[in-house]
Amino acid sequence: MSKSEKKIVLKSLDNEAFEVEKAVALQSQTIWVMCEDKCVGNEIPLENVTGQILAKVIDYCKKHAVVDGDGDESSEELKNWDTEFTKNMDQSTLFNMILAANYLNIKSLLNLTCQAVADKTKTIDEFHTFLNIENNFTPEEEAQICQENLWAFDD
Amino acid sequence: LTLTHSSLVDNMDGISFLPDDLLLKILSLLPTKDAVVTMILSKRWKPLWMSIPHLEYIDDTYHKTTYDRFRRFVQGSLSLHEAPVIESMCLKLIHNNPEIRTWVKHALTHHVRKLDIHLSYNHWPITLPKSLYTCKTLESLHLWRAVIGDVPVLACLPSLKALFLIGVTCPNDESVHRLLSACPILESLVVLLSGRVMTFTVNVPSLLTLDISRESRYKNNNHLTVIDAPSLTFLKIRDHLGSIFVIKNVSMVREADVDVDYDSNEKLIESLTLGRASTVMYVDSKDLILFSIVGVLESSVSMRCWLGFLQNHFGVKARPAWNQPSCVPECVLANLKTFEWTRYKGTQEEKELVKFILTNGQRLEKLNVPLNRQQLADINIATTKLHIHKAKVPNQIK
Repeated sequence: MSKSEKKIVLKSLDNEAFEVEKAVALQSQTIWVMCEDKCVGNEIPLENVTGQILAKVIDYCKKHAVVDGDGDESSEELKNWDTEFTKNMDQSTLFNMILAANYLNIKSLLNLTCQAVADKTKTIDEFHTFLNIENNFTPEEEAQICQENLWAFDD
Repeated sequence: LTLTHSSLVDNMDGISFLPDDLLLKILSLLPTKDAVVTMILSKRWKPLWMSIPHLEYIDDTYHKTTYDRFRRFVQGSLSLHEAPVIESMCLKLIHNNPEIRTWVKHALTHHVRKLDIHLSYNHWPITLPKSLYTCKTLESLHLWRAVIGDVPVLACLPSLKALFLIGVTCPNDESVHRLLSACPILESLVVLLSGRVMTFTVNVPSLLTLDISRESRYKNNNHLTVIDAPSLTFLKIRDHLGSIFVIKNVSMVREADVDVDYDSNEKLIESLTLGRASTVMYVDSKDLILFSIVGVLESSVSMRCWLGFLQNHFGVKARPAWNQPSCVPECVLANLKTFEWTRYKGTQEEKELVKFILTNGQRLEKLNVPLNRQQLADINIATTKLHIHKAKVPNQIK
């Protein structure tokens, strides 16, 4: 395999191009299938991901490709890296990462980002504030739901 | 819903932009208690929790009143839950209650794949529903302190790959044997047996890893464990009761970790000559082809000794000697790279055994036995073929 065949270009929704190692990109099942099926050449258009998010996804894939490859880095270290990776992401970046991981079909990244959301939403108040969910029940409706499901709101 | 530009997400009720299956994925990562209350978040969220495929019910209270609350929660949520398939259900209970059977049945009728049931020791042991033993979808089953009784003759768990039996009791040895026979593709078995199981037989052709230990308040030399697993690659044994192990057909084992206590060296030596595993045998998985003392036990010589032992078991007090096998087991010659013996005391029999290993282990690279140069000279072994590693343990010979 020549050197150029080992590289692949990923093009974001807003036309940003990223050249990456094939081994890095193929962690995405979606890209893997595209490479297999279409023989699209070296450039893969990704219509659902912005450049800003794609750059982060590539960071994640690079980290995980290296580690899977040489096995030098401990799984402990990788876990810490993952934690740091999502720790300071704002809410909107996190949701876009979930959508991207889902679209690109990168299972471990999807798990990681969903877990990061779950970790930040332990209570109903946290749900409302962190996830910015608008409560569209009337107070009467809300009271009725609680009344009908006392078993769920017992403490 | 098609996403045309991610900035859309910035402008609205953030998380609700995610499709239902992704919201469910996030909900599934929350404790069921927290997932259920999301029904009051908004109209879209109200029915969502009913489809979560993972259910977890943990009773962490000892009070009767709070147990009633816990029970209402389980019943209330199960009655509304409508996911067609339950991927996993975990029940951790402090109070055993016959209703548990109903909850388990709910999971079984919803094609559960992974079931984890922790019961408590108490006066009313719970017998699990019989349909548990014929569930076609079950892939992983963890039972803590359950009673394995009532296993039907026609038990069949065709998808089960992982089985954990921790502190289980069995009214008779036959039930647990029947359970294992019902698992044609079982790959991983972890067992912590209570003292009441006298004879435990693992005869599972598909088994790859086995971790077995026994606990009991009383030492009882009459416990017998038979392992016959031709596909086994990993074997771990913990037994401080002086139980008897018969291990055969394990030539695929690449890593064995055996920690067995005996009251005396006599027992230890007996175990080696008679077909029981013994002492700490640490095997380094990185080297892949490694030693398992189990291999020694495979030889016909040790099996003959074992038979002899059975015949004389109850009367013989004399200390048996280390009987060097007349033919050296293949696996020692061919595979042994690392041999570690942490509780070596240096008796004559133990010396004989170390000598045997050193003489016959052609590929031996690392020996970790607390032995000094003089003791080494005593057993008259040429150690030049062994490399020297940085010793963590004093007196380690390379």
